[in-house]
Amino acid sequence: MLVAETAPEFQSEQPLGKAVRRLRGFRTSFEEQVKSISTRTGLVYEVKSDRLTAAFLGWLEAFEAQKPAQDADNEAYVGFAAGLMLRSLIAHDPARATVIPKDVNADDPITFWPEGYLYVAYCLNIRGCVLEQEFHTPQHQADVLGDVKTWWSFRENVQEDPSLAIAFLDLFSGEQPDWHMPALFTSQRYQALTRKTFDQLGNRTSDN
Amino acid sequence: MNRPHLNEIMSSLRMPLRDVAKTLRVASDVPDSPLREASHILPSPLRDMIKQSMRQADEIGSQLFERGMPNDQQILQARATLEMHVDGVPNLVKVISFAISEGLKRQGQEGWVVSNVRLSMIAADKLADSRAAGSVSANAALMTKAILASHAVFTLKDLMPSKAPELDEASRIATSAAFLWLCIEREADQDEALLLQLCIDVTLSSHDEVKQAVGSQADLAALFDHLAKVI
Repeated sequence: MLVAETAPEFQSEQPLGKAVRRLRGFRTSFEEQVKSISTRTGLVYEVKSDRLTAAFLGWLEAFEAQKPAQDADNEAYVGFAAGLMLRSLIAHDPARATVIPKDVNADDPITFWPEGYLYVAYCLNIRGCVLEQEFHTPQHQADVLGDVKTWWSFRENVQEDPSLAIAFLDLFSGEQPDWHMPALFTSQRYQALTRKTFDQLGNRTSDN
Repeated sequence: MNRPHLNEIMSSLRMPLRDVAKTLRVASDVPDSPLREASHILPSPLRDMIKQSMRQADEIGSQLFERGMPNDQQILQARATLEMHVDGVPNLVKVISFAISEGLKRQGQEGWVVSNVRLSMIAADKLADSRAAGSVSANAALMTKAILASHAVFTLKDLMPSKAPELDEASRIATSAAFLWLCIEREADQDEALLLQLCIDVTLSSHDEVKQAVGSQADLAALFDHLAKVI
């Protein structure tokens, strides 16, 4: 079973992108995600309130620090911000799976890493909902999302470098990951400029 | 007899009757309270008398002090008192005292007393002075600073030769969280118990910032404003 199927109905009076920037909205949506996975799989999580709050505060600080100045970058920043959220959740690790049903498939990522699965599910679902609500852009998913070998690599790598969670979330959502500097948001304008420069350099090389 | 602490003990004995009753009630609640420990070395008749007094103190304390969560109306009224009126000080004190107690419990502190009498005096004094300041956060910061300076939160150990410096940190967090709770803009059908829990969590997570800001009313008010928006 893949992560996207666990998208709950996030209850929010205001747009989700705004709601999750407040602790109240973040916690409510996270609890809805926990409930949704538990209902579907029978898995039970225990969530530590203080760690969840610390994860939120850590995320908010990182989110504010690189918020783009130009509107053109807002859509790309949604994906980046979701990656920052995943990094903070993994770092503070607020959830603990206390009951794992016996009939689940051993090759399913949820069995391999139930807590990581919850964090990825939450971040992908928030990312998808915000992209849909604010930019009418559907979220895609890569096949590797259900591949337990990718999850091995994911778990091992984020333990060494938590910022790689940002790149892995890009990978899971079918985007091009930045494995070298995943924690640095690159504006669309800068990316276009870089592409143009490389193209021009390439043309010159081929002319010679 | 440890004479250097005599003044502190004598001073504490002058506290108003309500606080004395509350202190005795707390003493009877805590398993290893100095009063309980002391009773073991006393002759049997005296020990029985102390036990009976502590039971009575507990009963009186329970009647005198409400321990439950204030209702939504009381919380909104407390916020309004903090914002613009000196009216409603008893209600404000009840709400704040409950919130400070919750913050202390959350940090695993035992055997403390929140003096409602001292809180009332501070509220009446500071809010009368600060109506011109206007904002909730400014008055919340003023009250927080005054409460922390007054030792309105103290432990039984404070009355005995061994002091409890760890309460300073716990008290700072609990008091700041209590006033942060009142600074938050409410939404419809807000779960106040959850909101208070979030305030305690946030204050605990931001304890370094709180410690730095608490020296200045302006800094603390700015921190309350920032954290209230985050919650």
